[in-house]
Amino acid sequence: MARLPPHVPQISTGDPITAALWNSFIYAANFHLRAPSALLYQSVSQSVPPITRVRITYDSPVRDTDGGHDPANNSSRYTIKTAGTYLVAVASGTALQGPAGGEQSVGILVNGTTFWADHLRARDQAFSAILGSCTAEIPFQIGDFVETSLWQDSGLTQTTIASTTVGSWMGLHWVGV
Amino acid sequence: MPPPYPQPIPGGANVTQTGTAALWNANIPPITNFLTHRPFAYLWQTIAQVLPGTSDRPRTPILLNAGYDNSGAHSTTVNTSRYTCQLPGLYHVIGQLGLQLPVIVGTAERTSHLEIRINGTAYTDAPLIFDTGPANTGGTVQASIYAQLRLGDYIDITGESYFNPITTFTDYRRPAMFVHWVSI
Repeated sequence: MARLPPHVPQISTGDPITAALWNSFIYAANFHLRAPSALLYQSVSQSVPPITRVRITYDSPVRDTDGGHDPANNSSRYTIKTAGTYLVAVASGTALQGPAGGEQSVGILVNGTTFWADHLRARDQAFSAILGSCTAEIPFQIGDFVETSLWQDSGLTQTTIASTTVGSWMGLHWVGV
Repeated sequence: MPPPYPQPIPGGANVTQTGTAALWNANIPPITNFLTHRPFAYLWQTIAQVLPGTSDRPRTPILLNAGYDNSGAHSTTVNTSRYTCQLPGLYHVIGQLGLQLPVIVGTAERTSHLEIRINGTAYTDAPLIFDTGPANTGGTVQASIYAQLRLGDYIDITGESYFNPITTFTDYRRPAMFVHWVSI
């Protein structure tokens, strides 16, 4: 559901407060009380081959005020319905398969081409799982889409941790224009 | 251009008032339009910065020469590391630090640190742990804080170096700072 960012006009001295004017205020108040936001989780694990930027698929939306996510088609994407600057936060990670080594990164990818943030770290320590997260403020136009990118170079195919707690998720909310 | 910062709404109308244009203009558009244009900024670095190598682990302010700021809180030419508060209140601040490794240029030290500071005082610190194996690709780290800022308070982020100079990334792993106003 596309929405326009609200704007409430000033009026001239002597002008009445019309129903349309009042309704512009109601629209603005309700927009800010329930600004565009989404929270998506992954409940089914996903393979992450080495040296391959995998886009995390989300099958379990917790909330999606504007209908920007479709769990059946392009489920890695949240597609912007309301223009503006958003705060986007993502997290993802893998369970350990094989020896530790190499690096792993979790990034925020816009329109399939542009990274806005990235958490790149070593996989040197002994661990049972390694997760990362990152956050960015990003200006969007209607139709732009944002995804979570996961990359690793352990030399083996790894598997994402799918959980509603410490697994892969993407959350976002509208900040302003 | 700074947004039209509102003051808190002084109170309701008295019993003899009707809905005048003056009452409307003084209260309704300023507060609602402010919420649509609340202060925020996304700032980053496009010119690589070399953090100096000394034995005392200096924390070097990270220069942010690009991005967008809707409230006149950041300059791309003067004190470019700083976001200076123009409207008091609670802010959410996120910092990112991205540093290259020895095979590219820099240091043999395995760790660095990202700090977020208010008026030069650190409020959080996050370590950046580099890989030591082959195919070094550097490292990035993020940290975030909520900050209660007064008019003129400034926020910046710093990076740590040790013995050898180390250079920032300028691609998507670049240093960055994201700020937005939450509440008065």
